[in-house]
Amino acid sequence: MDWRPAGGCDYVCEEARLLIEDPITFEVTKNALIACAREMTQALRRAAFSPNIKERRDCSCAIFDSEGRLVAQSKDIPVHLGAMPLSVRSCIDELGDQLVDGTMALLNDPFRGGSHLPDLTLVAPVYFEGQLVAFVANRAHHADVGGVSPGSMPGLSTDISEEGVLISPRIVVRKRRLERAAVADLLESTRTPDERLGDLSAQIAANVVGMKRLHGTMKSHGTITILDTFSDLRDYSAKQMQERLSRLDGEEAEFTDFMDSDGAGNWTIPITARLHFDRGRVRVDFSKTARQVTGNINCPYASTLSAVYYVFATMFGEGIPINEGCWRTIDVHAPIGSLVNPEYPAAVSAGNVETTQRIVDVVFGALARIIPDEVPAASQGTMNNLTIGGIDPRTGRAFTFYETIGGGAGAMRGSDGASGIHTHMTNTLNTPIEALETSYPLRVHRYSIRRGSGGVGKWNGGDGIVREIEVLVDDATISIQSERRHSSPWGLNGGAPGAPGDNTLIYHGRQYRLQSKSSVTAPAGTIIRIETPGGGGWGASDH
Amino acid sequence: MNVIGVDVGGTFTDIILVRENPQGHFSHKVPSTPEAQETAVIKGIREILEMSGTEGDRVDLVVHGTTVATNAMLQRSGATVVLVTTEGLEDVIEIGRQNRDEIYARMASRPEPLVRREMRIGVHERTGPDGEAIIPLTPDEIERVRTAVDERESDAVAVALLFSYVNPAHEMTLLRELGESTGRYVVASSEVLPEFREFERISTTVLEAYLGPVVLGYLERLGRAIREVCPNATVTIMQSNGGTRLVTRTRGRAIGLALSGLAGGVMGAWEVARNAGITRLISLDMGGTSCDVSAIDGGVVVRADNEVAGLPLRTPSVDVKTIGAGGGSIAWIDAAGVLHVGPQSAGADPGPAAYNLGGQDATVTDANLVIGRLNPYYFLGGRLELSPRMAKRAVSRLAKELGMSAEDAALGIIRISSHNMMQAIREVTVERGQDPRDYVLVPFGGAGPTQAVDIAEALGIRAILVPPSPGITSALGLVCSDLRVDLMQTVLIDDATTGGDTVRMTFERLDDQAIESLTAQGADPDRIVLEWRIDMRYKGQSHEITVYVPYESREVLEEARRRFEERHEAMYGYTLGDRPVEWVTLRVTGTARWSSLPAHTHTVTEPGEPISVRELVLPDGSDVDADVYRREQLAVGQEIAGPALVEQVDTTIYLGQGWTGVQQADATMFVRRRDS
Repeated sequence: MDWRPAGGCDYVCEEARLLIEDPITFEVTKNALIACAREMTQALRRAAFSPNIKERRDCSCAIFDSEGRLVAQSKDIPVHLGAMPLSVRSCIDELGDQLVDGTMALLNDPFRGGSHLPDLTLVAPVYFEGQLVAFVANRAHHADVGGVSPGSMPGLSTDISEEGVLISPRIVVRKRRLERAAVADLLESTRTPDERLGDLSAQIAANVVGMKRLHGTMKSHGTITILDTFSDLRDYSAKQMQERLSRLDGEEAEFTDFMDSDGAGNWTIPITARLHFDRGRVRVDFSKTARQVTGNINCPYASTLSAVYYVFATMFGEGIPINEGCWRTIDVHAPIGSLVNPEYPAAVSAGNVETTQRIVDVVFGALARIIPDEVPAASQGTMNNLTIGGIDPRTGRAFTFYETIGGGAGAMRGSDGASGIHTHMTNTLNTPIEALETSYPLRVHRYSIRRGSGGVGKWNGGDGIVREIEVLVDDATISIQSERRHSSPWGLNGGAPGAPGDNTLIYHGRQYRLQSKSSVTAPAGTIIRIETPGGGGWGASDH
Repeated sequence: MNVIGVDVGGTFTDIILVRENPQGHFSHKVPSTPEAQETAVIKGIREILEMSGTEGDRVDLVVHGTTVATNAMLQRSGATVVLVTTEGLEDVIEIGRQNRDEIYARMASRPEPLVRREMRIGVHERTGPDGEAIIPLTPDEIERVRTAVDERESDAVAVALLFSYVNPAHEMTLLRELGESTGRYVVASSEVLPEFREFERISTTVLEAYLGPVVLGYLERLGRAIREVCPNATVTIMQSNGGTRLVTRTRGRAIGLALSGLAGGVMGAWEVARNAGITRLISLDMGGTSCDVSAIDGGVVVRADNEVAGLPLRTPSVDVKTIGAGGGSIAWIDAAGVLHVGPQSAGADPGPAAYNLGGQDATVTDANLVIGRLNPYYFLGGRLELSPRMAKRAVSRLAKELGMSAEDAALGIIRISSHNMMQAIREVTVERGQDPRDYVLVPFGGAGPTQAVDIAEALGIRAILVPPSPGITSALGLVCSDLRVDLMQTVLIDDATTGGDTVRMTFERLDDQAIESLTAQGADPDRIVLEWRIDMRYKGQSHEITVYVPYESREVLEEARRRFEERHEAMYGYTLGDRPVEWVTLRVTGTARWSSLPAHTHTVTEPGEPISVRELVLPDGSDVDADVYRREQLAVGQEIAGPALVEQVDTTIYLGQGWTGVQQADATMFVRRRDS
């Protein structure tokens, strides 16, 4: 299967002459489509059952044309949004005509447009007056999809089969109702089937809301106008993006950074990106990146794309509606079998959440060699994935708690980096301590800014976070997927790097340092302390 | 009863006097004085008394809508606050929910916390999720905290501890100890917002401490000044929840005034519509710089989750959405040649190009003038002459860039501005599972009625109700608002068979509290109206849907479940029949009417003739000669078929092609699509 973005250079150059014929209708319908995606996200969050979706909002929604090209998206989680188009494309390729009105397809297969197994993507065709006009889709991170450890984010997996149930595109909803038999494997594998059903219902609700809203838009503006807007929007974004990229025509740069470890004995694993700007396009080449590894930091192609797209949307996309047109100007070359385009049965659960952050770092790093004054220093470069699972003595039932923890943002010329915040590929909320302690046998002792961890510079990097959670039950499994425990988020132009992070177990007053990828079973009274990295500084400090 | 309403807006302070004997309505406008709002308020009151020949000591009630709290939030100019919170969690207020505002931005950012790090004090104490004391609060620790508070220069103290919404004991102890000894404005989170989610509760409590000294100081000065002019008047203030409260009872409730200035408009629209027999409406208050919209269905919607200036505001507030779309909103073209309108506004100075005060940018008002909707010689009743030449020049500049005629560009500006308002309306209707086509649009403010038809057409709305005096509808809302209290209690019941008694007892207790609070503020017990609502969800969800239950209904829980499932189906397209539901929070709203106002009446019987004919460009670009009428000359029942314009002192009503307006005996104008 060819996963390269559609469209070639000649096409875009021709489109550069494009003028939006009716700018007013264009603006009106554009906003209507974005609003549609936003309403989907609201429905999903509000109807959801798991704290990870309802409190942390680990979910995203978007609208696609009938060929699966992104038209509009909600302001959710970057790592979801950039990767969803491949999920939709994969459903179209594999299911085709079976996607009749009222059906919805589910997938999480990292080798078919998915990212990692907990991210379940639900794709629905939208028919209007008997014609397939669009797709709506949403992705939500489910708290448990089976596998060797609670939460399906094992610290040390080496094969995809250890990470949970693999779902290739399949139809699970007919006539807008979930068919339980179609998700029987998921319900059997997961430790929390009720919660899964509730969250899947919320995902269906989000797509239903999206469909209804699209129908309304087509009724009021006419199908042809809306379908024209789909393509005008893409061309508009492509044209703007291309104009901005063309400023760097002829520039080339390369940057290498390293993953701490894969959790399976491999250390300091290189990721290299080479950028080449040419005629309003950019080629991002990962040829010199490491081959896929034994551990679980392999980053599926869809996630790799989302990381690259994120950087260009951030650097060049201000004010441009995000859609396939933006991506049309970017060629990503990720060799099959490499860390950034792994093959089955690679373990991938940390690729989506950790490796994408490093891909962002290397693409920013390469850009900093071309336009040093415009690029921020490295941010924390990890999501600090923490999963705690076990049996809750209050109910006698299994629980799985999952969260990611913010850190320091990199500084930039003219401004300090923010402290204790989610950066780059994620933007999930924290779990309120009062929700966490009510739902799980856990107690939070400390949740504070890790003062002094940001890199010093003319402008300082932001500080990380210290979070301490006590486990109140015996035999709890604590899994950690983290990065930047050995290397530091780099500074720029003489700014100091941020402090690396640290993972520590505290039991009866004794401290035990944990690796960046860990999975341990702990007795009641154990405190897990996560100290997240600071951001890099920018410019040499005057002091 | 003689009542004065004073509404402070960004540009003007509006004053309305409703006098019983001799009967009369009077209204007046004075320029606002943002530095000290009370200056314009007092000036306006003095002038309207003089205009109407009313003695100040005959005024019984002054109702006030203020933006003092809103501005303190927008400008971050509140009090200096010390935060006292559970040890280890001092930075929760700084970390927030750890997310950033924009996903694709080179610098991650979120609003600055209102309390600096060194002003936060951690307390060695801990309460667990079931309310049990895990670490007790000792006298030594209280002493240490007291000293730490005293060492810090501040105006106010916010006490917000973990799980205080389950067990407030530690907070109450600290509140008592610190309140007595420090002489500062001290508030506790279990009183301000007894709800779960620590960041939202802590930050709301900090906001109360932040606003309290500012709001109380203002109300004290204002109360003194009003007493000098109207010595016998009771002074009440509009709250965010659309009800009023005695100014002397605002201590600890300052945050309730966050949207005071916006609520008056919503209440005014509701009053006008209700008198006209309409109960489902969308209020649209479009002034010079902003537009406030609210959807009302059988009663003004009051919601608990709002946000002002990036600060979460989890206190009951009218569901009103504000966007930067007004008559002064500036039209501009981006690098790719796409036209935008707002949110920047030309304000009152220099104002739209047509004001001829130096403004160069084309605004919505300029566009309306270019296409003939506005009369240059009758803007604000002729008090401000508009320059069609300057308006056209500004619009033409944009038109040239867009490669179209000035008229087409003007139509585009109006269409985009209408569309922005339409999106705001969608957010308060569609996103809540409501279809805007089931509503009547109630446009007011100086600019609302001029674009109401465009907005209605874009949404498929078929009926519009224009208030008698659109320009002062917000002030009208103040004088007809009720005293109001909102009370709540989280009960968290998941079993209908055993929960019924708890629910009834809790509702009765809240009823009693509401009655006590309202009678203490002077309400006649016979005029108190109580309403019941319950926040519900499926077990496992954490976002509730609020449903009304009929007051004193017998099968409260079953009735609530039925209504919850209806709403869930409407909002999300499904119900989960086999999944248990939870009755989470009971809410009682008590209201008491101060006075019955004499209704507006319109008594003209002789049909008004057009005063002129004006060339008007219709949305499709065609020109027509439109009849222009004066509102006060129209007879009761007189039908005006669009395209036509109806002018009045404070606005111009545009009747589009296919729309007909009928002036009614209650002084409103009802506008509907002819084919409906």
